[in-house]
Amino acid sequence: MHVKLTVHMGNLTLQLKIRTRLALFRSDRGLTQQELADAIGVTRATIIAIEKENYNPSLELAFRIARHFKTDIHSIFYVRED
Amino acid sequence: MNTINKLDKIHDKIIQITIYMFPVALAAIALDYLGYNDRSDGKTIMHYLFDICGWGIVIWTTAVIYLFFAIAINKNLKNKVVRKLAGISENDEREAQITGVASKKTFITATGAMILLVFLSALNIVVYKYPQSLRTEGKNGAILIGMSLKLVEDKPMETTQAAEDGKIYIINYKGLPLTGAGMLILIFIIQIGGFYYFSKKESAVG
Repeated sequence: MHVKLTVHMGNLTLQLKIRTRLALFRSDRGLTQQELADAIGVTRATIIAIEKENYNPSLELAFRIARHFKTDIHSIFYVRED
Repeated sequence: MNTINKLDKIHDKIIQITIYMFPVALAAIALDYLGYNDRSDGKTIMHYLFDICGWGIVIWTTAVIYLFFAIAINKNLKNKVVRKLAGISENDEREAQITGVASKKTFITATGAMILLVFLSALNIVVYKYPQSLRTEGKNGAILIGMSLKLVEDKPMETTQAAEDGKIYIINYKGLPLTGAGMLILIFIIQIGGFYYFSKKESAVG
């Protein structure tokens, strides 16, 4: 016999907000949004959305961005727990 | 490779014709409905316009028929046609995600609209008053509300038969023998079935 137990321990769901320092990295290198977009193979609108934290890039794109700036993902993207 | 590029360019042109000639085809249908196909009273500028639009509908129909068969054998062309028709550009992952969300919302909206339309096409409401002679105390009229869901037209398919004009018809195809509700339910099943199948296919692991 299978018994399914559901334990309620309050609200355990954490809202993770991905933050980014992409705009900082880009301006430090003197790149325009279009130049960065062309370099990593996305549209300028996507760069704008990532910089405004309206869009979370896929892991693949995050790695591409990090590789372009010769750094690791955590330097550009980090998590804030709300 | 060169031949494929040339074919792609031809397909682009045909897709453009399908999109931009569609209003012309609609204009031809509207002018036909308004009676400008009848030249018995002489020709006006609207009759000439109908002639021009008539050629437009011929070109548009030819392009649509070509695309219909071409997309059946060319998956890339099918995706391209759908993207062009819907004005979708998928240049990167974010635009692909936007398209996915928009498609899901469109699917839900269209499905809801179809359910409503099936309901409305099956609904019968009759309100009437009895003539004076049939009225009894307290009964002056009636309200009838019912549902009748017919999927197939009543009239039989006219196929092989000898017509009154003496012609022996081998094939006399006059469209699908489905009612409006039948057509809606068919599209509903295709839409739900297609969404379920492709969702399963995309989410399959391994």
